[in-house]
Amino acid sequence: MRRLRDALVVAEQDLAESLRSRRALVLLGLYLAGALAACGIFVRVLQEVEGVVADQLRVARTDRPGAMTQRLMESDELRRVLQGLIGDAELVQELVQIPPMALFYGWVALTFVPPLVALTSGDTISAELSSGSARFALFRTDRTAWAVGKLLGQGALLGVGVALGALGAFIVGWSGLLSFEPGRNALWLVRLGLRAWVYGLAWLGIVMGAGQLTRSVPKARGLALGALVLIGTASALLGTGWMLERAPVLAPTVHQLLPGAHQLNLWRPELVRRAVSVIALLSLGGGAFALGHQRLLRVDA
Amino acid sequence: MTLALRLRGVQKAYGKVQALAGLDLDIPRGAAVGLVGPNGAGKTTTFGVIGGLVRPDAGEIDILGGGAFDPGTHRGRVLLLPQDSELNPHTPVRTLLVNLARLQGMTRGEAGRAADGVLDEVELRDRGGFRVGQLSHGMRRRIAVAQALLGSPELVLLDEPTSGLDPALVMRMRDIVRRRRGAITLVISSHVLSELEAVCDHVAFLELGRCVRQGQMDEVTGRTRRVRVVLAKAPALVDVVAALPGLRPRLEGASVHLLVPEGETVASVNRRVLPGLISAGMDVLEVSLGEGLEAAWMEGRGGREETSA
Repeated sequence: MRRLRDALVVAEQDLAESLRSRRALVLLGLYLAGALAACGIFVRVLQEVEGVVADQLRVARTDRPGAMTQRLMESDELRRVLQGLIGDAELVQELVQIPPMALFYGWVALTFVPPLVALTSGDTISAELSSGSARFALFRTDRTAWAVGKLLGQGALLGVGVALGALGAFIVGWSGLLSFEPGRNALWLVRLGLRAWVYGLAWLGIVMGAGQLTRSVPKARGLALGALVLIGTASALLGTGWMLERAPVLAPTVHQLLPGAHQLNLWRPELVRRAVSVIALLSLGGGAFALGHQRLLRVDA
Repeated sequence: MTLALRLRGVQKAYGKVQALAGLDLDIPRGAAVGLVGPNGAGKTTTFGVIGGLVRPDAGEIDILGGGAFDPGTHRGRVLLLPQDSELNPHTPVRTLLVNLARLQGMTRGEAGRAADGVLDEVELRDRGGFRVGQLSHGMRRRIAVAQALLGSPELVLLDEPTSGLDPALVMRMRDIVRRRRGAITLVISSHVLSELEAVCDHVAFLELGRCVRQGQMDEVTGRTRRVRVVLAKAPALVDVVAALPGLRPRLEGASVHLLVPEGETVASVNRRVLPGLISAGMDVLEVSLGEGLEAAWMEGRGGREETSA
């Protein structure tokens, strides 16, 4: 109970600290600016595509895109094309229900959350160890409560970043898309934002676990980015048919130990499969964090 | 004598460097202890080991009767001013202290009151809303000391609390420590030995990771058994011996050093010394007790160097 209370106190301090520091504000700004820019580009592309289609059909172009895309999303043709690509009728059914802007935001968030997590949180613990500011806390609480507090604080910061990104997508969609349904979009942005957050938490555990292996800030950043590249590459390789042919049992088993293997399940409509993936992702993040923490428990602060 | 801290055979190595080489140390409860030693003697490592920041390789540690440092047992009871540690520059001073106090187990309200109390004590209440990074070095140092006084600690370890401070701030810090003396157990390390002599009632000399001497300040500095008389000009030893029958004076330039004989007191010796010297025509400029911590330290070092040679 004392540990939990301490971890929550540290988390509260860490979040406030991150928001006070200019670096975190810049990075949160990047979340928002990135979402605004990506969604803005998405709207422009839709506008161009719809314009070309309108020209082909010899009908008037619309001021704002969206109507044609929305209709396309509801069409059986697209559903058939997607089913051919993905091969999963239930998943396709779920995807075509998502408003285009929310769908795009979900894809962007799930793709870019890992590198952003590595940039914002990889050196959180090592920075405090190298400056010595951790020492003021470490004779007041134990190392596990302190480190878990840091993890929770960064998890909350990630939540703020993901929420800002969703807000950016909502603003761009509302102002740039025709037939934008605010309520439905807001609901899907929240749903997909939460899933991106959970996915980000898995990566957060990995980068903060790696960050506990050293007290040097540059090394911690290097380890976080290295872990990102290594796991990303391994995940891509293990999912290929070439690997599955050569290691039909080992490749999928090892793949399950990487966050990328659970990303697609976050889009699935079945609650059970999503829940299993959420548990798997949180366990992977927690496990990696715990592994790295073993070193922090042994070293001098 | 109840001990606040007991270390036996504590060892710690950083690679090939043996920072603590079987350190034995006894700190009585309620004492103000000066930890003296040259750079690399192991003072900072000793503080780190006591505060749980440094993992010892071997040895026994007993803090306040509760064994080695454990946050569950000792948090809030043992507080530390670590050396070369920066407080987070982005945090407002009062918020920082409140946060640290909450980690000691206080509620938000209690933590606020404790923070205000120590800010008053270091006379920085008006800077409570400033970010740590906006403060001068001296103010940051005072805040660092303030965090080590939060709540009701029983044992406070201050590693170089006055390092880099100007003389006025050193005096202010000395007052802060003096106010707490007696109520809590204080262990202070400093290279300014006169400062330790003024504040502490016990002293421990560390060298090469071992405690080479420890005891009461008066005993170590010889205040209870040594008298030093400074004369206007250097006399001949025979004249001094003749002027002070029954005492065995030692001469060092114009300074006469006397050991208080068994069964006598400093006052009884002084009653004989002053009339004796004055009646022998010697002008007395100064009479002082003991030789000072610096001299005691140097004397000890000299003795050890001779022994080792």
